[in-house]
Amino acid sequence: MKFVMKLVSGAVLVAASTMAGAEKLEVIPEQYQVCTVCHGTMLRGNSSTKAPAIAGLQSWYVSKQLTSFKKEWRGKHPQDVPGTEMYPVAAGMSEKEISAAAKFVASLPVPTSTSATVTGDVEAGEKLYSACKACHGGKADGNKLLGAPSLAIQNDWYLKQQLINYRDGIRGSHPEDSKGASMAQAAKGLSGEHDIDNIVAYISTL
Amino acid sequence: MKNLSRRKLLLLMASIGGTTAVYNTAYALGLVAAPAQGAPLNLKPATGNKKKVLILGGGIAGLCCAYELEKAGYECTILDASHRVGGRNLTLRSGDLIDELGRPNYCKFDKDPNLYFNTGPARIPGHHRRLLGYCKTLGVPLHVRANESRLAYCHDTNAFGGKPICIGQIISDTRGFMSELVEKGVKAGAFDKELSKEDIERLSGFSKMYGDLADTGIYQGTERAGSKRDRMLEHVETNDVLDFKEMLQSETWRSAVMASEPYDWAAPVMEPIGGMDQVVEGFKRAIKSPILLKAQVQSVQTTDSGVKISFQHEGQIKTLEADYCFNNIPAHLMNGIDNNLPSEYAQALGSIGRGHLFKIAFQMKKRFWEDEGIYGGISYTNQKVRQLWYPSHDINTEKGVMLGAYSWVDSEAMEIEAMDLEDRLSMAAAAGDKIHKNYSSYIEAGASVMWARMNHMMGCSARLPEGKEDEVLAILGKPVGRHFMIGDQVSRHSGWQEGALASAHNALAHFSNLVTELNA
Ligand SMILES: Cc1cc2nc3c(=O)[nH]c(=O)nc-3n(C[C@H](O)[C@H](O)[C@H](O)COP(=O)(O)OP(=O)(O)OC[C@H]3O[C@@H](n4cnc5c(N)ncnc54)[C@H](O)[C@@H]3O)c2cc1C
Ligand code: HEC
Ligand code: HEC
Repeated sequence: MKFVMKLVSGAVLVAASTMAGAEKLEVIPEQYQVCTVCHGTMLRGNSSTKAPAIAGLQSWYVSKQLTSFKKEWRGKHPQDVPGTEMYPVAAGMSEKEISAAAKFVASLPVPTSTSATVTGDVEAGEKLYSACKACHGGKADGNKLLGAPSLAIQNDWYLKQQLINYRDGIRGSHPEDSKGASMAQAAKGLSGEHDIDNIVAYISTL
Repeated sequence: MKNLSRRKLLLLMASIGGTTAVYNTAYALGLVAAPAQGAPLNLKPATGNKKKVLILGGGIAGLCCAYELEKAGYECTILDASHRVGGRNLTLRSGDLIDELGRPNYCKFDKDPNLYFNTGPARIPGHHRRLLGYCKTLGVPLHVRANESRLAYCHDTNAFGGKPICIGQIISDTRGFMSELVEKGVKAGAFDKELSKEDIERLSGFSKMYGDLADTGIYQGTERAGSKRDRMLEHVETNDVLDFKEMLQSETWRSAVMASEPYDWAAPVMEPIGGMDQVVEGFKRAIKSPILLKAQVQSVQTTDSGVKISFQHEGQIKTLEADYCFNNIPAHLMNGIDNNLPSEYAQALGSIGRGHLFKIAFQMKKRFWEDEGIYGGISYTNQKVRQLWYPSHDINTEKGVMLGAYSWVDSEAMEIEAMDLEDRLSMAAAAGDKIHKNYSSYIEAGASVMWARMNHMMGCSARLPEGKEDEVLAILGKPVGRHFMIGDQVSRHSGWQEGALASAHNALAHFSNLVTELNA
């Protein structure tokens, strides 16, 4: 601390625990600090960089997605600009690094509040969600066996974009990506004009 | 005003209102460019014990605030997430880290002080009084950079048979065609209502001279556009006139003709000798306040009496309290950082989009452009690289670093951002081959800087939400408690260091008012 006090002129150094109002911050290991540039403080998501909240996502899912990017199942479609931004980060990771990163991401606390940006008919969304329950669960907390992630923690703008991507063949269309394909199949049913907004509005209430 | 000459009016104003009145009148008359300062500020000296200031981000605006506040006796600390300060003011030299997200790489230019590349800002027009003032005060020597060369090229794959045409010819032919149209108008009596017979004669005389028309009023080419023969010993044989319709259909034609017309590109433009980052070095020499690098701000909390800032540094989360903070963090990154800013303010930050400017540079083993009579200036093309820039410094030396791509077309930039480093360079090399013979054979090293993909920056320049620019700037241009937003993003001149400095001066003016209020 002494060293810091010398470096920092004027401003008073206070213990992190005295932080008023703010959610608790944890030290991010150096190799994952780059993730926070896009995914935000404590990986809670940033709508401006279009990098979603990933803190607290299941490690098996994070691992699968980083692998999907690495294998170019995700992040190579010319219409998927946010995906192309994530792609080179995962492409440079080894399998070992991917599983360590997945563990780290999963260990972070789930963000407590996300603000709503998508508006829709929650009741209509609830009806549509019955087609999703079997895989994602009634509380949208995911199912490891089926490879379906938790949706409840996710930013609504990101859920919306992913549903559009699955529906339009931008995600889940690689022949080797069987899990992606099962989800892409499910998204085909969301063909009504407001279906996606409605279902996302409902998921946000969970 | 008919009978009062401008000079007489100014003298009259001086006798009534002093020099400020003269200055403002001159401004209103359009005689001087803008009423901006060319000198650093003079803040009131700090008093009492409310002197602690945190500066989040050491971009040009952050460095300017530190410099000004420190001079007035405030105790500043600069926190920057990057391994360097300067932000978008980045000059590349041999061995420098190009900190692209997911694709970090190093600059492979030869180790030679003359082989450098300004990846962000590269030109300073004479209008930018604040920046030029700081260059003078901080001892940053400048020289002129040619922003235009008549011997550089206009190239369009869809026009002129895809052949590069000298910009001098493009400009001469454009003037010829426009003048011919004026002549046609004169003959058809188009100006008979507005102008007297004498004035029409003057207009006709001017347009014949402007376009170098034949006595018939027809444009048949001009020696200004170039000659097919060496004109020193033989008569000029003018180049063939371009096809006017083809010109109209070419988008590159317009860029080439307009190159020096926009306000910020008014020739001549300046550049610091040795690289644009000499501005950053100048500030660094003058600033004594501590600068913490690799100190990434994670939380910004305003309190009743100041601010509480948390950041990660040297493997620890540290929290600092201060009386004031000047926030230079790009708005689109701030949107992902914990904060308790009022929702209106946070929403304004979140509404600012990312720009996708990028540049590609090549170290060339031979300054081949000089063999074509090009010494500085810019060639324009409709290919995705859009521009080629030639250095104005170190003319006639062996090697040179030139710009091989610089685009403002977001959609094309995003395509190139998605490419691997090597693919970007191959794309740019192939585009250059269409403009200069053997272009790619001269390439020794290349570098691409895609600003939307650079660590801790992820964009240039700020895209204010369309139709809501005024609203957003009105919100972010004012402080929230003791927190001030700065950076070119909160100016009307995003993408220019002068905008960053203006934002800093605006924040410091609000700061001064606040301090005066608090002390009252
Ligand atoms: C391609 C290009 C061409 C340009 N051409 C010109 C030109 O010819 N002339 C001209 O005058 N200008 C030009 N500009 C614009 C000029 O570069 C900018 O206006 C100026 O540099 C912006 O300064 P700023 O103060 O807004 O800070 P920025 O450069 O935006 O700096 C922001 C700083 O914040 C830091 N930061 C980010 N996140 C955090 C965090 N979490 N915690 C702490 N610090 C953080 C960054 O590391 C950075 O240092 C150009 C820019 C580009 C990209
Ligand atoms: C350059 C910005 C950027 C960086 C750096 C970055 N990400 Fe991402 N990441 C994104 C974006 C954007 C997306 C969303 C892509 C999409 O819409 O398909 C994403 C998606 C993801 C996903 C998929 C989330 C989901 O719900 O499917 C995971 C997992 C992920 N990132 C992990 C990481 C990790 C771990 C790191 C650090 C090693 C990291 N990211 C660094 C931008 C980034
Ligand atoms: C057959 C099982 C199944 C059904 C039914 C299903 N999903 Fe999925 N879902 C998955 C799987 C598996 C994934 C992960 C796929 C991958 O790896 O790309 C997924 C991924 C998603 C994602 C991406 C999450 C992220 O973080 O990127 C969203 C959003 C989603 N599902 C929403 C829905 C909705 C809404 C429905 C109902 C309309 C639905 N799913 C129905 C299995 C299913």
